[in-house]
Amino acid sequence: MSSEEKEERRISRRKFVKGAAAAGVGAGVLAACGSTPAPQIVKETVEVPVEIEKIVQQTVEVPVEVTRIVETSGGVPMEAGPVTLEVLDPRGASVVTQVHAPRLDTLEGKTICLLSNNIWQSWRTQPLIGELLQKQYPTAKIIPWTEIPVFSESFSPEQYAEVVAAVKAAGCDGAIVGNAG
Amino acid sequence: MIIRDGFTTQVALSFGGLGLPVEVPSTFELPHTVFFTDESDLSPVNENIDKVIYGLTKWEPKITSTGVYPAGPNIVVQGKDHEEAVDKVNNVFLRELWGDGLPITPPTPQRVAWIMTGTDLDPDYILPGPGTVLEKGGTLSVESLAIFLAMAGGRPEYFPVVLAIAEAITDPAWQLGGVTATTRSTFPAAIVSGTIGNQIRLNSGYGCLGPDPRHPANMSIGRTIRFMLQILGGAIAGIGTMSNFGGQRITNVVVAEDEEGIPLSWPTLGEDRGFARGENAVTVDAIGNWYCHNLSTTGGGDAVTGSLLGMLPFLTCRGAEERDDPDRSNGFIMFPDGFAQLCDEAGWSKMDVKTWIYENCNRTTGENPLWSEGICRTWREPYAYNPEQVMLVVCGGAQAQHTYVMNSVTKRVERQSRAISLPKNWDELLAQAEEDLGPNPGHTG
Repeated sequence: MSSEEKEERRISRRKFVKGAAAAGVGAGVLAACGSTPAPQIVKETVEVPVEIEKIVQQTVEVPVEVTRIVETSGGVPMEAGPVTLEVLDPRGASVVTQVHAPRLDTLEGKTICLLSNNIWQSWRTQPLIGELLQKQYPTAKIIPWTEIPVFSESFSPEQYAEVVAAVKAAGCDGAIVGNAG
Repeated sequence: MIIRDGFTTQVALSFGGLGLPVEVPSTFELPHTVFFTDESDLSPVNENIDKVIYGLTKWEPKITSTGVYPAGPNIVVQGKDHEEAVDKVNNVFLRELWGDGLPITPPTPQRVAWIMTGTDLDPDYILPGPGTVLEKGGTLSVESLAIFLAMAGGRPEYFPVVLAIAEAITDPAWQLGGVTATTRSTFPAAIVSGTIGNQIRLNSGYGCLGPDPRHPANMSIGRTIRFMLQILGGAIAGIGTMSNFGGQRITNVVVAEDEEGIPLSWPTLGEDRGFARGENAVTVDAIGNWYCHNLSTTGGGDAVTGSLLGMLPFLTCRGAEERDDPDRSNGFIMFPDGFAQLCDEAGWSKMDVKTWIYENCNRTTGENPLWSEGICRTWREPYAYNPEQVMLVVCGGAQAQHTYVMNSVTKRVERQSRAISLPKNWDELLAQAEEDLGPNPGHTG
């Protein structure tokens, strides 16, 4: 852009600011009239009294010419009378790629793995849960959380794969995961 | 699952993000008091062990088959006039938890089609990456984003920026699931580099983090991203996101770099991120807190070091893996162009400033005359592990009175940048905007 063009751009911007200020005043007054805008473009010129406070503390009324442009937007009907509006459901599609595993018929004789992310006191709650399960199901095999890799929310897919491999290697029939929060 | 009280729905959404039905196998909520100290009372575990056993043996899921669950059909409302119909649409969207509390623009098929003119992509195109939005894992299609941009009162020329931000923050390395779920007040901040900022009236000058009728794009794009996180990701307060306060979440932060005001010798953020000067790109980080620092309240040293010293106590950070990685999240430090020019005139390169911040944030407790408890208010960690992690952005106008600090929520996040692709009809879109909105004011800083 040449320096002349830049100068012209700046001049245009100033002109725009002055025009926008005047249009804003007009729009406010016209909105107060409460009429429903028609769907077609309408141009009209109105005189709007504007109060201007002068340095001498005198208030005078100055007539200002404002051009109002009213138009529809986005294809939305704006006519008076019953209106039907159709909108898209924003949820989009969801995909279920795997379902929850079937539940165990009993814990007797089953291998139950305790998985920990090592936060929120899981190093205390998981051992306690293991003890309580063992008490109720003496034949169950409880794999403590220390024997499965600790996982993290920021794990990469490869790191998660290591946890899954360890769970499979331990022969887990079921797992208790914690702590979330 | 062992869950802290109040987090069950959030955990259910996380299952959705893994491709499972949005359901939790069993509900075993422990009081939050259990979670916080090594001396906490564990008797609730004893009292609820039957729920653990129930989850392993009796619980049954509602959804038992895999497949694609399509979006619902279009919603039709009737009103005695246009105003009532729009009100009804807004009521439906609030009831369904699709709104944000401010009025939405109804995403009619016509309006969404208009927004779609802002891209050459097909409506059913799934964005690169996982193609889903954590936590819930909703499918990230171009049409969904067009709907959100319509709802947010946006325009088609904003769409390229929306697409780039959406792709960036759904990158698994950005850790969107954790950023959404946490109790911290997190939000994404997107810095747009290149010529597109001024073209689409994206503010880079005065008040660039707030509303500006001359630059309406910031608010609208940011709100679009919020709808994406909420509707596709499930980030609904107290349900899918447990943020205590949720500040800045109506519009997030979307701002353009001030590439007119940045000292010529300083690289732009875009250049720091590997793009050419003027190339359209976006860089997104996950922010946990922010502070506007008044440079005039500082003391000691020359104008630059005195100002920077005063800012240091407000730099925070938390958590780190692969600590030396320069892409680790560090938030953004925003300089108005007046202060950047002041630094430049005093002989400071941009890297000089970044290095100074890095080195002084790692001074030990007591060395900083302004912060007796430690030079940075970090959570066990220094602010940065190398100068490259410090992200300086020039924006906010010419007055050199303040800097604005946006701190990272956690260094586990890896900041992301994406190039912004323009559609073939770009010039026509800008011409239409000129006709609709009036002459483009450009940068007004």
